[in-house]
Amino acid sequence: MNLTRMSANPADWSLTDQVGAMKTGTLTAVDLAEATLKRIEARQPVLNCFIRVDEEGTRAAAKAADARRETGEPLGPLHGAPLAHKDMYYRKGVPVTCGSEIRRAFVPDVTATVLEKLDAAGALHVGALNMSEFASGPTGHNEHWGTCRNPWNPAHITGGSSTGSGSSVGGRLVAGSLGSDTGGSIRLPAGICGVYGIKPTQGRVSRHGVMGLSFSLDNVGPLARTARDCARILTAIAGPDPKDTTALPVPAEDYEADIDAGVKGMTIAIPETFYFDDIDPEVAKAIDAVIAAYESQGANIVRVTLPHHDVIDGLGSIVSAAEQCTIHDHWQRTCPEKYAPLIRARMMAGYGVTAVEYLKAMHLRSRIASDVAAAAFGGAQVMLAPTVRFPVPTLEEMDVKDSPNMPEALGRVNHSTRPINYLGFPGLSVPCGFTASGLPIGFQLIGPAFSERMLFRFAGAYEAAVGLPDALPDLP
Amino acid sequence: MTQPSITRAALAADQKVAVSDADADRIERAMTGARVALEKVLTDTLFDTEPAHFDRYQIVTGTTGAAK
Repeated sequence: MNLTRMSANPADWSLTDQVGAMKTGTLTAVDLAEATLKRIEARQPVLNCFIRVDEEGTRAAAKAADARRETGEPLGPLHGAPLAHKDMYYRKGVPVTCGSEIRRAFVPDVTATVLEKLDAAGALHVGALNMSEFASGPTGHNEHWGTCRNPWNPAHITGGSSTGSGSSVGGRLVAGSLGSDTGGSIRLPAGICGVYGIKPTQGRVSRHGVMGLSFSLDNVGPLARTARDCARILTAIAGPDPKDTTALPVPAEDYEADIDAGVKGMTIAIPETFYFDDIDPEVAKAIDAVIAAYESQGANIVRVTLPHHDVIDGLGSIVSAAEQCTIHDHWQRTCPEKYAPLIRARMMAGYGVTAVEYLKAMHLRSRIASDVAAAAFGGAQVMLAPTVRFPVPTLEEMDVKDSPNMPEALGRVNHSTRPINYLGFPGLSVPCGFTASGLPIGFQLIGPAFSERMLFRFAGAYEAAVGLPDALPDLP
Repeated sequence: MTQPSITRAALAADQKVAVSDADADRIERAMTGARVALEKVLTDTLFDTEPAHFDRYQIVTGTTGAAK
């Protein structure tokens, strides 16, 4: 099964279908690049998902990709695939804004390891994507570069902070994108824009040359339209990196390897604690259908009670606040007016954390993660939870700025994603249909450290049960 | 017990960063949950803790365990 049959326009195809067609010669990289640039031209005015489009570079790279095929050179797993990334991945000599005013004219002198790996895999880079300012904020508002919009209804949020990644992949402008996830910033836009997105295990992917927000919670990972697309990009970027000692010395795996292996006899844990609290009935019904789909594939379901979830959010807040504040301390002192009020206000919290509190919260992470892993994965391969517990809100509803209720309003959005960053586990958001009003619903597959291959196996089994996502957004 | 609303705002102000009343209130509310979390969970001493467990990158290599 593939997405190729659904549209004559290759910009609508899955990444792996695009690459497959280019490798066999039924599609050229130049034709795909032109289709992609035309799609961006038509939809960018509606979605505002790009900060910069590199038309000239894209055309040149596509031409070079076609030349490689014609001369019989080995072709990479992402041969000719036009990607675009959150504007926080550094490439030497190319401006990168981090979605901010402060870094509007910043030009890095290093190239991110993940970009070098994508280059080696044959990917094209179409441009830089919109994002929440400095990757802070789960909604999609950006006062400097304009608000990014949901491809399924532009009046609604994209989720953040990888706003342009969710919008551009869901809107069929590009087939894959790198986002970053500190409290849900890959999984939220994935779930809210109807695509796949994985936050890998803490330390699974190098962060060299990537803007930092919270150095012990940040993760690099892909968003894409199918499980296989997402797995292919992760396979290309995962693994140790001598330039980043926090990228753990665990060899990368082929994350596509088990996608078709099925889950018969395997077990899914459903948490009775925290993740489903106050869930909207429409979202709950969709998750029930997911569970039924897994049962139809022969998976077993167990209900589990998880420890520590009354404190994880508080401890995670200590870590997140202190680390963000540390990174931004210089600018908070020298040019606070250059931040949007929402972002400045969020980053102020770290000034109220003591060193002893931070070190206690950090020390407890490994112990708490071990307890949660034992409860969740002692008798199951993965845990399943909603990505967001309620239907996608409008931009207006979530435009809280620095109002007094801001922390609580934003906290509702990333309620089910934030704990996973503190715990260090991998989490994969999978699309599972739409609300009655036509907005996407997503669920998370969560596993123990370095279980990404297993997460994609479960995602593949869900696709096998219900079919690949085939709806197209109603856009120009 | 100390009055955290005074302590948190003072802590921020002592760091010579511009802190408005609204900032101080927000910091206090944001950190209330954190303080309560620490009070709930810290029941034993960290005196005999191995140095590596304070390393911020021991999160998954510590005791979490790998995939089955």
